[in-house]
Amino acid sequence: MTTAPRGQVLVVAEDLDPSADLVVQALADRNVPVMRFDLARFPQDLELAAEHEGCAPGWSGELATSARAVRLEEVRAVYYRRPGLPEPSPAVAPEYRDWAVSQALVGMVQVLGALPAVWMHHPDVYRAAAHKPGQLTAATASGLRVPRTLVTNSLSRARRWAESTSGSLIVKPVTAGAITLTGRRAMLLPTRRFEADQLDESLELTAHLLQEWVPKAFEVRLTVVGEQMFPVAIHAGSAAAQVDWRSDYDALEYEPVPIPSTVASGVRRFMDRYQLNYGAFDFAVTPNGDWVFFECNPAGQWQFIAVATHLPIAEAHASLLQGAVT
Amino acid sequence: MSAATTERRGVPFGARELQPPYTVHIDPSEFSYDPDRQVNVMNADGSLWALTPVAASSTGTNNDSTGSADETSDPYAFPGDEAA
Repeated sequence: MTTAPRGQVLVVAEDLDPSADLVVQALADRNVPVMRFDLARFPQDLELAAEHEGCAPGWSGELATSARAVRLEEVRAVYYRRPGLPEPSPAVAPEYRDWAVSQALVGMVQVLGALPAVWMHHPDVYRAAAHKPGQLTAATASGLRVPRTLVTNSLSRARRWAESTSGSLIVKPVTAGAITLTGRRAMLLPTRRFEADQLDESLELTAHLLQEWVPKAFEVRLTVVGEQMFPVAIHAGSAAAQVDWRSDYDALEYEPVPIPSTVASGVRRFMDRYQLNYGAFDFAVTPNGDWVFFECNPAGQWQFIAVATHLPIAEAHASLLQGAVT
Repeated sequence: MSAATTERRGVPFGARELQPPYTVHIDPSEFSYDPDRQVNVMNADGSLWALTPVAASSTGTNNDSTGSADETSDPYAFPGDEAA
């Protein structure tokens, strides 16, 4: 294993990614060398040559474009943000295209993942932390309050559970999944508020995640980067945004707010459980001031919050990727 | 916001009222990717495009982006699945 200094940060993202832009700029401001690329350029415009010896652990080699190259031994961090899928050459026969994509994707990601480097949004970590049912358990075990929740495909159980709650309910996807209607682009499925008497047999068509409706004074998007926390209130100015603020961005106002110490401690425990160094948390803050955990996106967007509030979220990323902080 | 879907037949309870994701319409002629700086810059003055009000939401960045939004599936997170 080489002892060469590890200096480079790899930013793996689409070219048109403003969050990646901010991180690259923040690293450049610190004179940290960066190589940015999109997986979509692999294998046609990006060359990987990684070697592993028989007895000594560790990959060495080079990753190169026509413009830059980086030694794998010198990679200190990887910022992996929703890159495109590898695009094989048209020379690959159509029947072999999916296979070639898989080879390129796993080959690149797993070699980079095996480097002794800091990662943000490592796919394996993301995967372990990404799903709501597990998050609710982790959150409550960490001391956070969550909404009462039912996951079921049984209408009778759903109706009984609904009767045991007081007030409205919400339904939201158990997991993210694109629904593409014929002739239309991918659609968003926002959280939907409903009343118990609206439940019907279509609930039995698949698993559903139902929750009690949590009254909100406002919501909070809490962006956590390493040890740094950026809690921002989201004030919803429309009925749709009050149920799910993603439904109506034009009706939102953002305001940095303090986070209660007990909530901050719970969030840290939650992140420790999942070994996360980043999280975009969504909370409701009730009229009584209680913070209720909804979910955590372990690779969630943050640039829209940073630009709206001028919070130094990009700089926090740079510090972590640079190795200045954990 | 554009109209949500109203179809009920064959639609699971939790999949009703789909909406088009929030999008920000951008003018690609105003900025470009600078391969040296490795960021998108405004053509007029070289300032960061990411600092303009366009930018992102937590859903899709814009119609030209091919990347996944928070709320849609992210196959890149699951390379093992891709290989399976």
